[in-house]
Amino acid sequence: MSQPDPIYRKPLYHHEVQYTRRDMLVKGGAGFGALALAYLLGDGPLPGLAAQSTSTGPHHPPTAKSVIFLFMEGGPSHIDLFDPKPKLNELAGKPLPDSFEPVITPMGEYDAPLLASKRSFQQHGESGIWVSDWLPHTAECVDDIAVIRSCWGNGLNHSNGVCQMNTGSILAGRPSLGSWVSYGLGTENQNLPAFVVLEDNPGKVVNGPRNWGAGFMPAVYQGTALVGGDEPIRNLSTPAGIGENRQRGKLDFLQQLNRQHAAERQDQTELEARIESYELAFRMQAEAPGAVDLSEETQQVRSLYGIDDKETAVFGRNCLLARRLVERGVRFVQLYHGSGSRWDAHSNIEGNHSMLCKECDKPIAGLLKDLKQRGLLEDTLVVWGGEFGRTPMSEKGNGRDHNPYGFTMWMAGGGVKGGQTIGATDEIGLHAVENRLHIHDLHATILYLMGIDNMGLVYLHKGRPERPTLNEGEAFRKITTG
Amino acid sequence: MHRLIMTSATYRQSALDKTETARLGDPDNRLLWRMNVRRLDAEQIRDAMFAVTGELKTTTGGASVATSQPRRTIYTKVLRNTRDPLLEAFDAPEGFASTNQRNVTTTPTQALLMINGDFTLARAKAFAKRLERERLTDEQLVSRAFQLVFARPPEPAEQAGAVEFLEQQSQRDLQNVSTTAGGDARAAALIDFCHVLLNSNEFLYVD
Repeated sequence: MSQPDPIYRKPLYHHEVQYTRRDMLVKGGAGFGALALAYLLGDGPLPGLAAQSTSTGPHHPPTAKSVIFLFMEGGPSHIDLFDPKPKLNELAGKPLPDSFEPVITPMGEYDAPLLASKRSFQQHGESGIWVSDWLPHTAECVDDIAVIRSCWGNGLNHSNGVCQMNTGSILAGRPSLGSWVSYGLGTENQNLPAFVVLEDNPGKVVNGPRNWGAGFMPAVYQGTALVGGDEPIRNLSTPAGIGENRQRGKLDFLQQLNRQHAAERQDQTELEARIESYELAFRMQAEAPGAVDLSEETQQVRSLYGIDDKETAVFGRNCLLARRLVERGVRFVQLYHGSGSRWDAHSNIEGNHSMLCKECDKPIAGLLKDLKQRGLLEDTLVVWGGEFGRTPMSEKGNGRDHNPYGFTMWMAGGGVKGGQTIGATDEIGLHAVENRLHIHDLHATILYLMGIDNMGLVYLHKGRPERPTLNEGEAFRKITTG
Repeated sequence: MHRLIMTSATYRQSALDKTETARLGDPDNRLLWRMNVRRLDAEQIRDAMFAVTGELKTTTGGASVATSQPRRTIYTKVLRNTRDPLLEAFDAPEGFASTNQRNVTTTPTQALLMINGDFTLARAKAFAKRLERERLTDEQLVSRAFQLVFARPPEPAEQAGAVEFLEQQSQRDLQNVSTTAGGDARAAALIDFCHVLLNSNEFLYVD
């Protein structure tokens, strides 16, 4: 059923159902071709109604049109990457001093001594942002980056944490942030999905596809995971052994049957919508493969992303794909790096993080530089982070446990003022203490940059107005001004 | 209460147009002079396909099976983190929380899945085999297929259209036929015909 928009519309029994543009998109299949469909059916925005909706289009002028979310899955160590803690190295080998509020660590090594960071940190760019020697390429882009050192969340384990970073809740069942964005803003390209997911290690991401699921919202808002090979979107190609003429012949015969069927059932818009959905599917078959065809890119661009180097090739390819997708109007692209909790350095953080940083550093910097030189960074928001950070306390002698109490994420582009550091953790990087930003605040900030008020985007579910940040969270607006 | 509603004359109407007067006077059906067409639920679509192709195992009870098995969907396993693509596309709930009202969406993703996906194609092949076993003439074959999929015989024009499709389709892309139906262009055309019927609105919607 279409979702009546809450707040303003009371049930009107036995009255003409008034569709808002959004209802029409739901019925007609938003994301994938919805706008075109609504338009073709002559059911474009209904004057007057659209204006009443609390969730139609942007609430204020956006600074970001698209989001690229670089998800470092498993939890990268903020204190070894962006948040240097000299005090930690001083106290290394000692137990956590009483002056720091103790925390629960999932692996339960409560009395483990503090572990020094072996990284050397330097200030970079004109802004002098601190970055460790693990990320030399990202360090070149700091003047475009706002480093947020004061993030915190509630998920102690990977499943909880990844779920909350995607949906706002540690419990399964809510729509992903990308779904909310698709619901709120629709797509700019009718022939591509609005919300796309790229995994560096397909099938391994903790929680699987529910991370990009639409939860209680219609399936049209769910993320589409692109798979490699000739068929980037599932079922996009005509089946093997069926030529284009036969496929067209089948579609023509199908539409003939469907039109005849609809002729005896006039004014039932759903039937028309399904007829049109087959035509859109046919058009998508033409457009989508081109979007993911990297052979169109120059050698120079490919090496910028590190595609010519074995270690960086996989993530580099995904970063380049992400640029091609936002270029074509895809709203929300989520890239997983380290799928399957590979950043989860409970032991040997040196070996683990060295390798993972190497894999993703150049591709990420390449993406930022490429977006910038094409003028795309202005309205593309790039977000970097994992589901949590890591503890200053050691685990198994040379690793670090999960730390959702204080960790770093960064944002760049899409209206974000680069070259600034926001918030702070305590002296050893355990708790966020200054300008604390909960995951809800981070989500609200992302939505804010996209022109969406997190409290104004509403979806009625079981009679309850549901909002992307669970009625909490506030956008950190100063991110645009510094 | 449910009985009262569901046995009422209003609820038991069909979605077919009745009179021009009603249609012109109330095109949006706000006075409920007809039923609105209803798309089958995800489970119904899957079950109906197996039923039409003759593959459905009608045994009851027993251990749950994978969704690739021809049992009714109620007997299939539900893996919340790895959902069945067909059921997912047609709005089966996620299974994390109770759902008081399902979404009913119409998307190109569904169209792609139905026209290109392995599942529907496999059903079309099974359906074609079923028809072939019955050794019918083209006309009889079309009638039988309509009866199975739409529960009605074809109109003469529909019958002619379908026979024409079978003829034309067996002339198309002959070089590709070998991989789908062992080189038999006629058999390939029959699979295509079955595939189209399973994709049709008349199959996916009830009046």
